[in-house]
Amino acid sequence: MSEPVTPPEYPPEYRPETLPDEGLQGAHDASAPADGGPLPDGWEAEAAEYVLGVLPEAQLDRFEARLARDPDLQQDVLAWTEYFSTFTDTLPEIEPPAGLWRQIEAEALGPPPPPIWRQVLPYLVGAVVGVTLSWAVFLSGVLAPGGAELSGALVSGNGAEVFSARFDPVTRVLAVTPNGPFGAEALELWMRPAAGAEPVSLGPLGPDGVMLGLPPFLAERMGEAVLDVSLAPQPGAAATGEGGFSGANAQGALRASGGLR
Amino acid sequence: MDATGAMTPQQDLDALLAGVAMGDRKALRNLYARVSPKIYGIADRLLRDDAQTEEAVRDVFVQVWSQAESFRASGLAPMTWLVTLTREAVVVRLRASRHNGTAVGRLEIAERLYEAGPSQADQAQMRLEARTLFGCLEQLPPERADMMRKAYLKGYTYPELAEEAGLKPPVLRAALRRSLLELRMCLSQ
Repeated sequence: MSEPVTPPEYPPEYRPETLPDEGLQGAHDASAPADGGPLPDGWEAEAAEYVLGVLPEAQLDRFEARLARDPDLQQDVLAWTEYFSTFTDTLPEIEPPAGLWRQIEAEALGPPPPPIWRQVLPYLVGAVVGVTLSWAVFLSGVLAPGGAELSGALVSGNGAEVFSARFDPVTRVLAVTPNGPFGAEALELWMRPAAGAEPVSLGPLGPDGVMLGLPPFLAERMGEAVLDVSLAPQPGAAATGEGGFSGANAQGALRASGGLR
Repeated sequence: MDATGAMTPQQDLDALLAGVAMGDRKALRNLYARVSPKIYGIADRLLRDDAQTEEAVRDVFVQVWSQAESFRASGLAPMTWLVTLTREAVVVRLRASRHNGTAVGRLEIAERLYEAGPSQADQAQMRLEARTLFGCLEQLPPERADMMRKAYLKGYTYPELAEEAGLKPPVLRAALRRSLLELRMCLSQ
């Protein structure tokens, strides 16, 4: 048996071994070793065998361990993969059957998601029901027998109490209702959490008023807060409105203002 | 980007695979619209069985959905990565069919002709890598190039190739490895 010829670029310990049952006897190929000698050269050939899928299973683990730490071998495998994949270049493209995508969608993705309105509907319904119940409880006074709720009037520039406001700290529900018709102006409700603080928009204020649940960080400040009603800002409107109402978030003229105590 | 600032097909596939990796269902759908004819064509041509072809293509896209994040680490071109997944899905079925004795019968004459190598018309449409590979394969004994195609496309193992060639597997392996080294040298020039 001839001695294995170690390729110069690979240390002897990495040299692939000839499998015991793969002695090269009875060669029909004049170029093949006929005496059970080493296979033609090492890792470089194995990289190609690996990509072709013919590397014997018994040698896969050893090859992949080497592959994981040898950038040159990784480069070889990448190159062979790119080249051999071109064997498919001349196979004709065929349009898949129409129903195949639905099967893939069902298998890979599960059922398609419901439309967005159906996704948020439960929350909306829950929120509306919650606010309605809170309001009913609030109006009935069940939750605030001791008068724990806050109330007050929002007063216009000429001293008229144009809006009434009530707030229940337990349910964090705020209700603002007009004391009379206030015309066709689009209004917006603001809350200034404390004197000198930037106003926070609570949203539009319609002709029937508004009822909303406040987040805890606003609710806990209602006792010292001021509620403002302004003209709703128009697109492109100036950042500071008339009537002395100003602030980073306030863009319309102040119509009414007041605190709840 | 190309000269007009538009995305090249490869960048387009890169972007779609990045979307899929982030769980974007629309990206998977768009990817399917782009590449499914290629993938279905490969599977159909090699498996020659409608049910198995559909199953293989389903497997490929399910894998794409679940493993898209591994694409970037593979270092492969996007189409090569997809073709490699397809080839694996096909080969596992072909090997099982041969093992179970349910493989489709002898190759058709047209397929045998194809296996001798692509036609001149085919060559004209090939990518550079494909033309380079074909040019180098032509310098090898034809039966060796044919073995490489059968191994890659049909999942033939050394014992199967050896049986077909009437050689002992070790002899055939030594010969094929020598041809692979010659091919490597040619490709690197």
